[in-house]
Amino acid sequence: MRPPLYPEVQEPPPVTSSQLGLPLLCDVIKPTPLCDVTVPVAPHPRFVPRLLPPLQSRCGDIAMKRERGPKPAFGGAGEAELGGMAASPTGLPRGLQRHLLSGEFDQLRDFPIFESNFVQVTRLGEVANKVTMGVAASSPALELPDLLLLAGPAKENGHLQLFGLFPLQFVQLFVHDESRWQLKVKLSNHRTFYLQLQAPPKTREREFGQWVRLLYRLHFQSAPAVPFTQEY
Amino acid sequence: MTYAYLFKYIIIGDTGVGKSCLLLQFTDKRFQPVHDLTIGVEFGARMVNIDGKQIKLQIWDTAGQESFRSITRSYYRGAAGALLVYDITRRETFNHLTSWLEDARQHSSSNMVIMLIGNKSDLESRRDVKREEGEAFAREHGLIFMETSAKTACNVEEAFINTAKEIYRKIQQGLFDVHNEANGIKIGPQQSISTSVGPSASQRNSRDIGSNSGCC
Ligand SMILES: Nc1nc2c(ncn2[C@@H]2O[C@H](COP(=O)(O)OP(=O)(O)OP(=O)(O)O)[C@@H](O)[C@H]2O)c(=O)[nH]1
Ligand SMILES: [Mg+2]
Repeated sequence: MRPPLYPEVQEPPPVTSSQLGLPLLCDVIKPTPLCDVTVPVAPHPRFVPRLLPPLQSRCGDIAMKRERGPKPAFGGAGEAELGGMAASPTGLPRGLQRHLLSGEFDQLRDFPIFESNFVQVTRLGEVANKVTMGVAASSPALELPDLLLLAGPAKENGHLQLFGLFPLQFVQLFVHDESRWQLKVKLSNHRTFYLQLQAPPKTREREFGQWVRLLYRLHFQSAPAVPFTQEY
Repeated sequence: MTYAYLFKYIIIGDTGVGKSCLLLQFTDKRFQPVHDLTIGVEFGARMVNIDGKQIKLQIWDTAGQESFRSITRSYYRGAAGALLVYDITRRETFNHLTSWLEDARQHSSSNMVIMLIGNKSDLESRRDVKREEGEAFAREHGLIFMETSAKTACNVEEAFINTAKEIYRKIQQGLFDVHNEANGIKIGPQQSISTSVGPSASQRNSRDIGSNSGCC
């Protein structure tokens, strides 16, 4: 049996006091329609992680340090109720939730989702693709989300299309670069990619803070990732 | 783009048999030489034309590795079609078919059309499972059978499309209740049942592909 693949799960990035004071997941956030964001889209995006293989360290240490930072003095996290995550100020579901409600995905229709629009960036910050990332709870009884959903524009018509659904126990989320609102997503098959939040300047800090808070909750309150091995 | 029906497919089978490659070849016409282990479920979609009807295939490519099995099997529900894949160069992937089949039958509708696929037919020199064995297994369990190569694209279109044809045939015969979501079939937007169902004079559309292209 191999040791767990992701020991860094125990070492989340440091928390600043301002982050601890940020609103909880259940707080409302302003919807940010994907169409407002103009970024070049790579041809024929299919599945995000596959498009952008992990880049080898060129300047990565700055980013990595944050991930290996000291343990935060964690406290006052408050309650983030999953059922409230999908709420928005207008009461309207956002893009990914709307996509799942559209009727093609019966089984995923009723999942509460917390989602944001991102652009996939290289480690150096070059923009690659639009990505919508969400976390969802497969059952309303769950206190924490258990699934990560990734979606992006379909190549035929640019409509949002679901690419993948990943159990969160096989996913590690990190703050990659707080000043650029970037998260790092690491799947247990060693695929890693970087996402930069796309949100209006007015709400960006707050929305990113919600992700940061979510990461801490996932790190501290969920079971450690299940190790697995290549079978052949 | 509008469609008459949407069929949900699942792709199941051991890790490394080529499920994701089959999907990629079908949706993007490319081959991925590196094994990119699937975590959970990846999605693909493509329109096909069956008997003059536009049909959207919504494909759920599931992770084959054992550690994901309990999670992925919860997504079998509501599938109209399943591609059950083994690797003709690895006998153990063939030996595990019974357990995959049991899982599939237990967690999905009894009407689900299952296509058994012996993949990697391009690796003839490393063949470990005879074509006749695949055929016999399919016959015994009431499955359709094809050998494919996700690498050369041989029979890949046919595997997806023949499954859709079989589902469509079942709809026409009234074996599938298209209004029951559990069957994995949806009527497309702005389609009324009267225009989208009913036996048609032509059984084969010019864009259809014959089931025996003879490349494998
Ligand atoms: N020669 C050959 N290689 C193939 C073929 N199909 C897939 N492969 C190779 O087999 C390996 C596994 O393919 P995948 O499609 O990733 O396997 P999978 O069934 O999706 O595996 P999991 O996601 O772990 O369940 C890859 O290295 C592919 O390149 C084929 O038809 N011929
Ligand atoms: Mg796969």
